[in-house]
Amino acid sequence: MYRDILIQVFRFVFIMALQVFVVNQILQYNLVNPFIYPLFILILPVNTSFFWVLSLSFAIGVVADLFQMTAGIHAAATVFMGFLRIFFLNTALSKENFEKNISPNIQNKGLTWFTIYAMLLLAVHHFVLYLLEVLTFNEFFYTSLKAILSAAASLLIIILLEYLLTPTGKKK
Amino acid sequence: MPQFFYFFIRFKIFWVFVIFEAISLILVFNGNPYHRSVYINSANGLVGGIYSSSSNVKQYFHLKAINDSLVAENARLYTNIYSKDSSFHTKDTINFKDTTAKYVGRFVYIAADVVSNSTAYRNNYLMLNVGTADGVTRQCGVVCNDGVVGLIYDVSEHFCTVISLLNSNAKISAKLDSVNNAGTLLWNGLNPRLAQIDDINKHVKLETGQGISTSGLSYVFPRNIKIGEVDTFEVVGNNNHISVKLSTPFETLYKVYVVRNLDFEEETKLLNSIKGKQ
Repeated sequence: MYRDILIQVFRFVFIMALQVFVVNQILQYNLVNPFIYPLFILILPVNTSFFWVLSLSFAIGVVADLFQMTAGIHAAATVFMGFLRIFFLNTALSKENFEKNISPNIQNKGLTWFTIYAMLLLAVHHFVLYLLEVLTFNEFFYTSLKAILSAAASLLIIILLEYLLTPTGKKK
Repeated sequence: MPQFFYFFIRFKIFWVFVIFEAISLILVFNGNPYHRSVYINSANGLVGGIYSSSSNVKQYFHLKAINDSLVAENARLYTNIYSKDSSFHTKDTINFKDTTAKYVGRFVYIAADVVSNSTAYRNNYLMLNVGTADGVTRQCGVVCNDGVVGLIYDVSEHFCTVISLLNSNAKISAKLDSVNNAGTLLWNGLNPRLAQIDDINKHVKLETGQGISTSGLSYVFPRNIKIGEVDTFEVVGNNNHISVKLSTPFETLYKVYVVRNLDFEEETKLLNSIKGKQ
């Protein structure tokens, strides 16, 4: 139990540090500006209660806001993503998955499943994020383009990270 | 009534979601800058500390570029001092020298390091490692060797946040160097190297490469600080729409100066008293 919580805390800090000190330093163009911190919410164990999913979404969103010097946009986007995650997992996972309390990552669910899952949620996250940031529909096309390109970049980095950080030797 | 409670319990996921989303959206839409500044300032201590230790490391990778830009700036300043038309070395401008000394003396420059920066948003902010302890106030501007950077947004004891020029809230009074026509510089959010001036009259003659600098009309920046040059322009209605190629490299900012106008309060007080009488 405590071990699980510790692992999650470590993940939280590690993913946020990666976002702030690596991704934000290297990849910051006007059109492509990826965010990898939603990975933390994506790979939470499936039996995490909805309250914790939403609280943690809010928490990691607020931390992202503080580091990006924005007010509330990351929190709002991540909470929205966490909300959709609950529905997505309820429809896209079998009973067996819930009984084993797996983490919905590449190792457990395969590349195709994870790509669709991450793509949908990341697209929603980035879209909400950039719309709230601009706060106008005047530049709608440009904002959508920015959201789509950034989400694609985020997806690519997240999949690479998943492969890099999964221990290859043992299969659960 | 029981049905109402049943509804509430049945959709408790939804209500938790609504509460969290509401808190976030209040932060986003809050028109009151005070709440926002409390939120940002409480972060300044921790986030600023983390960022300044990371920027300490990062600056080592750019030492050569930083040194080169400082040497270039020194060269420019030496040229200014010893050039023919400088008021420092010519006797016939003694009276003039007195007033310029006063004029120049109104502005205090405070050196600062950029600890965090972004160019990717529609509204970009920077964080600097100077604060009220160094004499920064909310009415200061920020410049670098190559040009204007932005306006101070909020100050805590050891850090301050800056509204970058690349922000929809940044409006800076700019002028064309050769003809001194002033206009307002804005950024349309598309390219971090191009800003726009839309209110210069169409009779003004423009050419590509014409210099653009601060007008000194806003009491925040001194006159004649470089902003950039005319990139393209077209006449729309009665005005020229100018696209300005910015001279400040926003992607690679490390050393900047906070400019403080010592007479800011006196000047704005006078201006407000005129507005009050109208």
